[in-house]
Amino acid sequence: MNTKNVKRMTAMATAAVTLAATACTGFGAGLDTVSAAKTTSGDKEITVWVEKVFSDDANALMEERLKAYQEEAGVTVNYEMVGASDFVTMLNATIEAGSNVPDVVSMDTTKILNYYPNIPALDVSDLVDEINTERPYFEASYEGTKIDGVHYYVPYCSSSVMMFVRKDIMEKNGLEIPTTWDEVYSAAEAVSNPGEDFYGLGMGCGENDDDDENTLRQMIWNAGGYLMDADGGITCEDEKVAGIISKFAELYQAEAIPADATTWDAGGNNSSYLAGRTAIVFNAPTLYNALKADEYKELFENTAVLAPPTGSDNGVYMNYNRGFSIMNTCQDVDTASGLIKYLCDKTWYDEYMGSIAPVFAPLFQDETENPSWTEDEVNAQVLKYAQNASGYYGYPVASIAGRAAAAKHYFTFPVGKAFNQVASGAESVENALENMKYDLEDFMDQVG
Amino acid sequence: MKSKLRNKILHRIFIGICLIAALAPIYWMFNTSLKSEAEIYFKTPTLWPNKVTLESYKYLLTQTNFLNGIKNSLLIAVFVSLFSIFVAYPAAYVLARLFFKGKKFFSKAVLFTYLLPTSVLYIPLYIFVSRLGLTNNVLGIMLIYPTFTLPYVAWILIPHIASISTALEEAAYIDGCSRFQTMYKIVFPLALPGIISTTIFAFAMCWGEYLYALVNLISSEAQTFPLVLSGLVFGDMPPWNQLMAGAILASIPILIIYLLASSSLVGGATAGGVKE
Repeated sequence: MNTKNVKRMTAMATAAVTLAATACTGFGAGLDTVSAAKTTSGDKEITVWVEKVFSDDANALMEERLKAYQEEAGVTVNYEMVGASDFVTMLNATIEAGSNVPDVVSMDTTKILNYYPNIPALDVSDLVDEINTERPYFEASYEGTKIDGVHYYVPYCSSSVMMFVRKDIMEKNGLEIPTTWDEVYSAAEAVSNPGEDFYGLGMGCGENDDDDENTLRQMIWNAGGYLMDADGGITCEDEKVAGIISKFAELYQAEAIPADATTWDAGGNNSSYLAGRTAIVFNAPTLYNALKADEYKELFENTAVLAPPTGSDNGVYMNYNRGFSIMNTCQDVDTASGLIKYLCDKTWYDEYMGSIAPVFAPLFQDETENPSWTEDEVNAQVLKYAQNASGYYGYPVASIAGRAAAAKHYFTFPVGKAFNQVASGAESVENALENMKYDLEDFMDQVG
Repeated sequence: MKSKLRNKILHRIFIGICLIAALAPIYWMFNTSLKSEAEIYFKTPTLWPNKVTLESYKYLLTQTNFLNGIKNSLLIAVFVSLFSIFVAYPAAYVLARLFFKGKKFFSKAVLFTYLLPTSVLYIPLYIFVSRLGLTNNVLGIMLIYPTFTLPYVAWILIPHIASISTALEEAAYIDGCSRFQTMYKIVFPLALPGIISTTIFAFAMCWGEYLYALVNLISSEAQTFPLVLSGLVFGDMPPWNQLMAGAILASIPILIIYLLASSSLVGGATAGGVKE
């Protein structure tokens, strides 16, 4: 390499250093200890992490509300709107390090249980009772978010899994919109046309399909089957559980479910519906929002969105309530409680919920008289779901250890795995359930 | 003659297949970034968008902190890669050229340090950075990234330096150069192709890094671009067009750096320099 080249490369390196130096001075924001919204206001200070939702407008509303609390309460509010997919990893790092742990965070039951036995959140039962006295919660939200009689977070809103049905396909086949699981199964078989790559039921059981894992659990509960009993005993080797698995396998083998459903992830069901491959799917209302795009105008008009069917024995939906926890490192619990109550103010709460409907539903009883939630068909169905969402991982186990084991076990998607093994012919129903039992026992041992 | 032609054609076909395999994912990223969200879910995927739209780029550049993320990533990657070369080059030179007690141990330690998985280190390093009061600050990340770039750069540079003939250095000593002058005036220019390619790799390692940035940079103002992109995902319907647009835009700096540096990536600089 000649001197000219060396000089050129040195010049390039110098330029790069200059760029870095310029960046250091010009891009100062990155070098300061940054707080997205830190405005000094009084001596008190509180740090809040809110999980971002799908809507930019709703996120902006939440930010405005936090700023308003800062001004009204004279408290410095350091808030961060944290992406949903990164939230737990970021929070865990602060907890592990024992520093920079926020005071108030978005929380849900599964997250709390995954920390058991070292739950890093305070018991906020008194705060929940206070809010409940002023404005009663739905029973499913008030009771369903308790763990061993304790509220570790203040319930705030509820996500859901709704049933999306192709009205045009049902009409074409002379069928009504199904209202029971048996009707879903028979409609799925009746409308399937595998030759045209069209299937009645878009329900997957891939190894990472958390969406359908939950729906499969609901199917089991509603037929009267359970993975655990109230005392924490493992009861998955049950006739009713076996019956639902067999039914799914039967539908799969009859090509009423797409062949690739055994490989789907959580996006498999909604993709199949948007692609016009399936007639019935169970998905969060994010699918409803996607259907509003111009390209899906026809599909949107031909879609009915309903709360999932109930079953022969139960009408239990999975509880996806989420809310706010006060972390046990919080130094100023009164201010943290005040902030949460401020977010529950009826007028603002209703406006905020309107901005995230129907993906999230409110949890208060008086919403059943709110025209925004009763007159809009989809909102009404979502609210109905929230009212009945009393199911949880391990339902109906009552002990915190049992619930923690079930919540941790959920992340291995054991129900989907059993359905997959049987549908694909890899295992008999008995063996698949035995495998599930073994896994669950293993988790129980680990959690203690 | 015929056999030569046949071989030439086969070579071209093979290269063509390799090119298609390498470029197809990039093409698909670009294709997806130009589609509407609805078209992404079409039953039969379209090889070119029915209706080209730049909405995802517009959203990314105007409605998110993506540009700020790029700026932060650039700042961190440029600083860390140059710092790594600055520190790792003398270390690699010493390990390649000098003989001292424990040399073998130090050489292996460099490799073992590099092999430590991120998942093991991210909590201790977070604690370290938070005690320095540098969480939520790009300076904290600038302290962390050299933990993986330094050993990598040193490990790659050791054989590069070792491959340069010692006779050239001996000639320099005879002409009156000190060890330091030899290191920077004789060996450094000869090792430059290796140094440049290693710098590019170090830059790329910092550019796309996710886990350390995730736990250390919480504020949207301090976040790097991978975190901004990850923040776009909500639920089970990722905005693929926006994510792909972000990936396309984020690959531009790497391409520019590679193009700028490629003319210097020539081997054989020392060939014929010494008669042995």
